[in-house]
This record gives sequence, C-alpha cells and structure tokens, in this order.
Amino acid sequence: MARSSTENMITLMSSDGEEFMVTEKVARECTTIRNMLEDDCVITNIPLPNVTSDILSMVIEYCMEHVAAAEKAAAETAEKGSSSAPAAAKANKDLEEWDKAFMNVDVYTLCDLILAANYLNVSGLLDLTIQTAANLIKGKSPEQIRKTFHIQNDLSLEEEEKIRSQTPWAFEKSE
Amino acid sequence: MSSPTRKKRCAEREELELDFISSLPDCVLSSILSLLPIKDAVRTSVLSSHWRHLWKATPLRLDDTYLRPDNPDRDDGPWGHWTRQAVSSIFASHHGPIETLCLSHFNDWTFHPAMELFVESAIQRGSIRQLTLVSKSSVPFSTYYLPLSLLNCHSLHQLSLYGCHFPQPLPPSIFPNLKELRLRSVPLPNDLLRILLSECRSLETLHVFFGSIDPVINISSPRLRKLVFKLSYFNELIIKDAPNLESLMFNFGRYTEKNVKVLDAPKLQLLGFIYAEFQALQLGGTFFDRQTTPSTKVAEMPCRIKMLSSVKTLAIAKEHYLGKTIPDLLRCFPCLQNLYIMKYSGQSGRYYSDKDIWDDQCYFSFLDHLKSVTIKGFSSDQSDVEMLRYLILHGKVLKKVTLLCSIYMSQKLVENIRRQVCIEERASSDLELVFCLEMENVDHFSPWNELIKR
Repeated sequence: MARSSTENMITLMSSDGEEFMVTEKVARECTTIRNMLEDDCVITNIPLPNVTSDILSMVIEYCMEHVAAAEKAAAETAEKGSSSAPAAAKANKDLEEWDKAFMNVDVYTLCDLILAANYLNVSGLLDLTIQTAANLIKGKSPEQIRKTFHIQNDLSLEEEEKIRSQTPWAFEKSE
Repeated sequence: MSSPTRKKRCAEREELELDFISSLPDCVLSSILSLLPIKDAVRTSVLSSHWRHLWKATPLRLDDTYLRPDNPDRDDGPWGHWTRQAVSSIFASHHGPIETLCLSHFNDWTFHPAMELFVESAIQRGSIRQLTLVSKSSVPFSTYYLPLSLLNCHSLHQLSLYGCHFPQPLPPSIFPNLKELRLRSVPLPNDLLRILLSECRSLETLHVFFGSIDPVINISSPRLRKLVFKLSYFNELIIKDAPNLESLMFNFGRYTEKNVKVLDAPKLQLLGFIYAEFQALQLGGTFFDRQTTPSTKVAEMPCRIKMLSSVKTLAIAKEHYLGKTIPDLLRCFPCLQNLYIMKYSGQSGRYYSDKDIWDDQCYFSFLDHLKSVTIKGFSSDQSDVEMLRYLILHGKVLKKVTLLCSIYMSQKLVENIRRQVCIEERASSDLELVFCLEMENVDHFSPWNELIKR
C-alpha cells in the first residue's frame, strides 16, 4: 500500500509507554480516537492509559488489515467503474479468513481485546471478539464454561438448585 | 501476534486461574449473551452470582421455533408442551426489554390466552421490534384476534402473522411505525387492505401469502416499495398509483389466467410473474388482449406504447410449447437486465409453431442491457430454442444463460442444444451457457428467493 506523503501520522502511546506510529486513517478506525481528532485536529500524540502495548499492537494490526482491504476494494471499483461481485465476494471471504486466524488466541488475550475494542470503540473488532466469546460458551455445560474461563462458582448448592429449578428445561442433560 | 511478555503474563494468569471474563463490563457481557441461543444464555445463570441475573436484563430475542429438548425422542410425541413451559418460564424470569419474539407453538386456540399474555408483556416492555405470531386454528369460534394494544404499538417494525385475524372495526390509527407486514392465511378483504395501505404511515413491504382476498385488488400507496402476493386467488390486480414501488411479485396459482394492470409505478425495478398466456394485461399504456395479440408481428408493433423503462428484472411464466406473446411483452421493458422464465405444463393443449416470431431483422432496445437469462423447466422445445438463439445472437452484453432442467441432460443433448442456439456465433464474447438439473415446480418462486429475502 503506497503511503502518500501528505498523510498525517499519529503516535499512539500504550499504558506501558510504548509508542506506535500509525496513519491517521488507521487511527480513525477507533471511534474514540476519531472523536478526539475531530475535537482537536492538531493532536498528534495520544496516550492510551487503558491499553497495554501487546494488545495495542494487535488492535493496530486489525485496523491496518481492514483499512487495506477497504482501500483495495475502493481502488478496484474506481478502476473498473463497478466492483465485480465474485471478486468482492472473494475479498470478503479472505478478510473473514484473516479475522478467523486473528481470533486464534487464548481467553485472556480475547478478554483484553474485548476491553480494548470496547474502550477504543472499534466496532468491527468488538463484534468479532464478542462473537468469538459467544462461540466459546455456545453448546457447553455450565461446568465446561467455568473451566474455559476459570469462573469461580460462589453459589451455594441450594442457591444453584433454586436457579436451576426456575428454568429446568435449560439444564436438561443431552445424552 | 504474541510477544514474550504477553505469553509470560498469560501463563501467570493461567496459573492463578484468574477469572477475566466476569470482570468485563456488564454491557459487554450482555452483548455476548444476546448472541447466544436462549438456552445457552439461560444456562449462564448458574455460573456464579455475578452471572445469575445477567441474562434477565439482556434484551431478549426469543424464537420458539427452534426451542426444543436436546433429545426430542425422549418425549413421546411432539415437544410443544416442553416449549410452551420453557417460554412461560422465560417470561416469568426475564424482565428486560424484548426485541424480537416469535411464538409458533401456541397455535391451538386453547393456548391463545397464554399467547395474548406474552404479547401484552412484550408490548408493555416497550421495545419490541419484530413479532411473529402463528395461529393455525381453523375452528370458527377459535379465531385469534390481534389485541388493540398491538395495533397501536409504536416500537413494532416488522410483523408476521399466520392465520390470525384483524379485529373489526379497526381503530383510526394502526401500526404507526411498522415497515414490513407479512400475512399468511390472514383474511384480507379490500377495505382492510385499503386501511393498511393508507393508515400504516411507514409501511414499505407487504407480503400476502394465501388467505382470502377480494377478486379485484386495487393498490394505491405513496410509500409502498415491495409488494408480494403468493398463491392468492383473485381475478384482477391493479397497481393504480404507487410512486415508490420497486418490487412487485405475484403468483396466481398454476392454471389460472388473470388480469393485471400496472398503471403508474415509475420506480418499478422488479416485476413478475407475468403470465405469457394472460387473459388481459396492461403495462403502462400498452394493452394486451388474448383476442387481438399476438397476431401482430413484433416489427409492426406500434411505437406509441408507453414502456416500463425502470424495470431491470422481469419474470415471465409461460406454458410449455407456447411463447408467441413473449417478444411483444419484452418490448415493454427497454432497459431489462435480468430475465427469468418459469415454464409450466398447461392444460390448454394448445400448440403454436413459434417459427419466425423472433424476426432477425427486428431490434429490441433491451438487447443493449440484457445481462442474464434464466429458464426454469427448460425442455429444449422449439419455442425456447428459437428465443434463446435470438437472444444469444443479438445480446451484446449477455453474460450468463442458465437453463434449469427437470430432466437429466446427456452430453450429447447439451451439445445438440448448444448447436441449435448458435452458441458459436454469440454476440457477447464472455457469454456463459450453464445447464443445471432441478426439480420442476418445487417452488414457483425459487428463482426469486434471493430477492424476496430481506
């Protein structure tokens, strides 16, 4: 991707003091940052005290990939006058595959990414991460879910029995 | 993707068995729960005290169609009772907003009071956007009438009704924000249809499947964009004044020949099924009549016809071996891009030799635009071959011709057809001719399914 010389660069600073130089376009993928830029257009250095460097680098990786895909699609449309449906479908599928590979992370990283996507307001990444979390819960018994996410069960046996008795159909064992 | 420090920290958390997901903000956890099937969402209530009430505040999207026991064989017989109990317990526990609700297991009249309670509860919570109600009761005294509170519901955007009835008389204002209404086996007399079209200020899409209808239907609506009639038996359909109508799809049933008039629909893009063996048809200012057409040859057709130049996609239903009217019909659509033809076995027993109706000297404006042709029930009869040859020889931008065949086409047969339609002399160099095996008349609308989807 050719970077035009006029494009503004923004420095994002993680909670542990690491600096990341990104194009304004990539930074604008984060709605939180976009709002800051719109309030104060000369801003070039943005501290992000809630995001660690390893997670911030992943968020930037995600934004860069999606900006590049959108630019590629726009360039093809401009070139041919209209985007061809099969090519667009393939590009979408490639991006989906990339997302899928990107989500191959442990549950801690996943939770950190959810928090960061929520804080920076990257809607695509937030949708992707919460869908991944939902997939980890879907079809599992409560015991399996607790094990996956290390959730401590602080309910007494009686309490748990009471909750189960309110919606017994949801806890039937499938054999 | 994962730095050494990250790996180290994850390993530490793993060792300490830290519960990270529960520390996410409740709104994020709610978003996760809203993506789960209701059964999985309810199951999270026993994870820990933090999770206990989360699902109850998460906006509910409940569709009871797929709510069933994990091993339905365990119950003797259908699982309706199980599902109704599950729905009841969800309504007893959940107190948050309800966004979508589909009740399909309350169709017997004995369950109507329960259905009414749930509908009222959903409306009172104030955020129901999508509602589907199924009532199949055929016993006269057991009809489910829609509650008045539903007719006045402001949040409702999409409503699908099966077998329910509208109360009479209707209140002066109904469905203030409803965008899409799907009716199946719902009686729809003309006065009701007129009120729906004039009083529902936001209605853009109307589907009418089955259901008793008056023989002559007049459609005038300033807002309607999509209108679908499927297998509804009526004699005449008149689109009188529909300035925003984009899609008009109807299907009369197989052997009936009905009158259709499309008088004023300047934005119409998608139209079908036009029956090639119509009784009488009026498209814009052009009249077709069984008695007078199609004796005129296309080249001699008068030029003063007012055409439907906005239409890009057209579906025609045509009887096997017939097709004399098709050139005349296509004349009305000078900007046509996609042509669908569905063939059916008629009972008329008529047979015309279609030789020469596709006059090579004649020019159609749509040939500059036509991109795709699909024939469902292709059987290589003469009328199909004549038409295809003409379109292939003259369609300058034709990209794809799809032939859905109800019988297996051998390689020899395929070669034979390719030769007959002059594929080697095609006007468009990147034209593709595709043969597909398909069951005949499984679904009249199958080439349209993609278009009917929202």
